[in-house]
Amino acid sequence: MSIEVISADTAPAELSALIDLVRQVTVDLPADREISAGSRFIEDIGMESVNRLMLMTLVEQEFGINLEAHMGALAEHQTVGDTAHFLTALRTGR
Amino acid sequence: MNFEELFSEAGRNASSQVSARRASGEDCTVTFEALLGDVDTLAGRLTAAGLAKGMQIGVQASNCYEYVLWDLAAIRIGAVIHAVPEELLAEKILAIAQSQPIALWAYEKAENFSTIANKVDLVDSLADAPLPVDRSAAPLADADLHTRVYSSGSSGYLKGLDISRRGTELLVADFIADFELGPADSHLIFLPLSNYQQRLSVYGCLWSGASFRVAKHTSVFQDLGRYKPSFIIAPPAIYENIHNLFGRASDAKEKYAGFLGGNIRFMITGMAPIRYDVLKSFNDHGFPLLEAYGVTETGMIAWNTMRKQRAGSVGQPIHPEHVQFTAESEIVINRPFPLSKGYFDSAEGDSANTFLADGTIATGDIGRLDADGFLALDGRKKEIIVTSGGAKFHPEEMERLLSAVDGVRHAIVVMAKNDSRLVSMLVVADATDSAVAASVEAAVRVINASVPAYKNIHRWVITATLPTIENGMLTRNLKYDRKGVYRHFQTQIEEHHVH
Repeated sequence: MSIEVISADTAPAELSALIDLVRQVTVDLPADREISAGSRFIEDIGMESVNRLMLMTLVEQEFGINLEAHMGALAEHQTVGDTAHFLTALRTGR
Repeated sequence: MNFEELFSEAGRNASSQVSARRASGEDCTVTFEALLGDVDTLAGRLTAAGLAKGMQIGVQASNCYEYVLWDLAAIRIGAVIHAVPEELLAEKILAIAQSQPIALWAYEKAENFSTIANKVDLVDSLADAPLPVDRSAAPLADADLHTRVYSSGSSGYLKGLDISRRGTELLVADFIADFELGPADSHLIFLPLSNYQQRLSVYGCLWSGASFRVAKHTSVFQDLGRYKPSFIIAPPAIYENIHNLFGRASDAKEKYAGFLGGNIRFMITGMAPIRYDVLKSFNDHGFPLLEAYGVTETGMIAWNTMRKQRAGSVGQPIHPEHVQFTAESEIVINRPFPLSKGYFDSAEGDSANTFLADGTIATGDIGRLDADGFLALDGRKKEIIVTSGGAKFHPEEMERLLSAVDGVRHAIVVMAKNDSRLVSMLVVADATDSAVAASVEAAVRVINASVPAYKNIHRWVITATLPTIENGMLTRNLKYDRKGVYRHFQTQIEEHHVH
């Protein structure tokens, strides 16, 4: 089990928005299943590659960013927290 | 449709448009007239370089404008496109280059072609420099050989298929007629052009005057809203995701319309079974979602259309006289011009098992016709796993990896019926030993990370029950009986619990 370290500069609002979007995409996930920064898309949440494409589409709409050039990098982020951190960096240009 | 007149027919709809990303990265939208001009330019370059009728052009690229250009230029001069899957690595490409007389390679990823001399970067498709054609490459003599493609066949391994020119023409003509394609249509193509189905769509659009966009699959959901197609062809996973998001909303119709762009006339699903509730939701809200069925070896076999449809079936056979059933209910096709002429590269026995001696083609699918002639599918003859995204592979691939884990005596992989997830039974000496369970689970996660997502094991059952003939989990040949394993562990397999 990997331990997820969330950088302090991941905005909590972005993490929470991303978790909301993950819930929208994975409607079959039991309501009591917790999704946190450390949740892994495949093993913990059970997402498939098409689910992740849909998630990225919603992220574009929600966050107002174009991810087309970053799909490769995004695919490498295995956890919700990691992805939120990446999105924060994209938005803030850091 | 016929290739002889494809370009003159496309020219009649000169203002219809193709849009795509160029190999250089920027997006373009050009008229059919401009496209045909580019095709002529490339065809001229190829001819000038010595590329003649029947010679093979290898192409490896993701979806882009130039892919369409090379395909059409090859048709123009009678060359044979040898379409290599975009994920194939350098060593495999080199093996093809060494075994096949490829006159010229057109590529996108330079790193896959470092040891090959006769090649051109797709970015330079319309440049002035002479093309390094290997003029000694022997042409293929068969005038009906249109192209060579690869398919992940029933064994889950890659097979090379020779595609028939006449078979293609007849199939495209059927599609245009049954779906009434015309210049008012617009089609979003996002599955790889290296899968032959997408090139058939290109020919259909050109012939009928339908505009089309060639996109990458990674942007499919965004492109739906941006391009606003009138029809799409997609695997069930695409529709299931859209349905999951909007299908239960009180304003689902509006949400579907917004997400799909608002111009949808019909949508086709195939490659794997689709959930009935998804099919029903789209159709109930006025977005015709039509299930279709075919295999690359034969071409399309059956489809639901706007005029004739039945949910839960794959439609009526396009040519009922071509469809036969064996005593085991396997669908066997007997048509004068099937899409494929045979395999040029396949595992031993594949050809004899598929292209039968009597001229018929075995699909490996079990099916039946209802009283009104609609075809229903009941599964694969073999136990190949087909994910909801249409990817195919044999469970043995994962079983080999899993059974190599310390402490695992047997690993059997099956697909759950309720959510199409892969579930593995892992037989260990003591299923109550939590330390063993923890180390096995850790090993499964490592394996999952090392394979494509569609092969990931989503749930596993740790058990001490050995498979035996007596408990139905082994066949008399001592092979895993996956149906028996499923029956034995059905409750755990279907349990909606993600580790």
